[in-house]
Amino acid sequence: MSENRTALQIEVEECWDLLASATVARLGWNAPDGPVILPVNIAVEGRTVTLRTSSASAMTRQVDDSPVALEVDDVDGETRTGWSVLVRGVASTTFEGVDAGSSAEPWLDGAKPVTITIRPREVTGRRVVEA
Amino acid sequence: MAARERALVELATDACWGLLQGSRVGLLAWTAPDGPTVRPVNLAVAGRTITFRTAAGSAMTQQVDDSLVALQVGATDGVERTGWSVLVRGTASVSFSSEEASPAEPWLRGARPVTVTVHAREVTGRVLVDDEGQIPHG
Repeated sequence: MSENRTALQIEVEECWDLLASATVARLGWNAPDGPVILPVNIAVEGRTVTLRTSSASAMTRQVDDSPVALEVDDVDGETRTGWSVLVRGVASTTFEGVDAGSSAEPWLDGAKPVTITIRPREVTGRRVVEA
Repeated sequence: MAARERALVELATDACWGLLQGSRVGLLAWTAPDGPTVRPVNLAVAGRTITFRTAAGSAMTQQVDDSLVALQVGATDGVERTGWSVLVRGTASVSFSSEEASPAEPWLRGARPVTVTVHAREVTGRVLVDDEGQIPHG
């Protein structure tokens, strides 16, 4: 198949619309032994991204006050087109005790008392379209 | 939806590699000078070697050589709220040699002369199944 696709930048406003439409993202951060990237269920309110996790997770221990990257996308393997939005910023962790700190809905059962908030420093997006 | 019970099941390493071999798109995470970053990449997985191609001038080319990286592939079903995810952690190497060029097929127009190889140190995977054991297709 010929490489006849081109990437277009997505404006910041549209990046936020795409983020708000997403319920699943990937969070990348630096663990002590190198980068990690895992799927997370997110909620977007205004210009803040939140997610919930359990108190014992590696994420809880490792992301507080640390730089993180969060990516959402929608890719079509058949047409080889799609978009990707990347948020880079700093995460902070709060223990809410109840599941009230984020409107994100985890798919997995079990207590998720920890809210991780991502304060964006940089939001960029790219769309791959047929040229 | 919320009433349905879901369980997280760890995948065996061989199953993880099977899912990797069936994946064409992954997310590469690495540490840029100003913090972690993530990019989608078009993968080729041959045996236990993961490669992809990038442009000579890309940030990835400049930043990942001989560095720790993480690569994630997966699929999710937002309706059923199920999915699977495989995480590869290891070290990347960058090659400009055409003899070592990755068979990965980039979607984008333009030269992609650089091959990035991910040398896996740790491969783990999880599947989120509902009470009927349904998982989405990759």
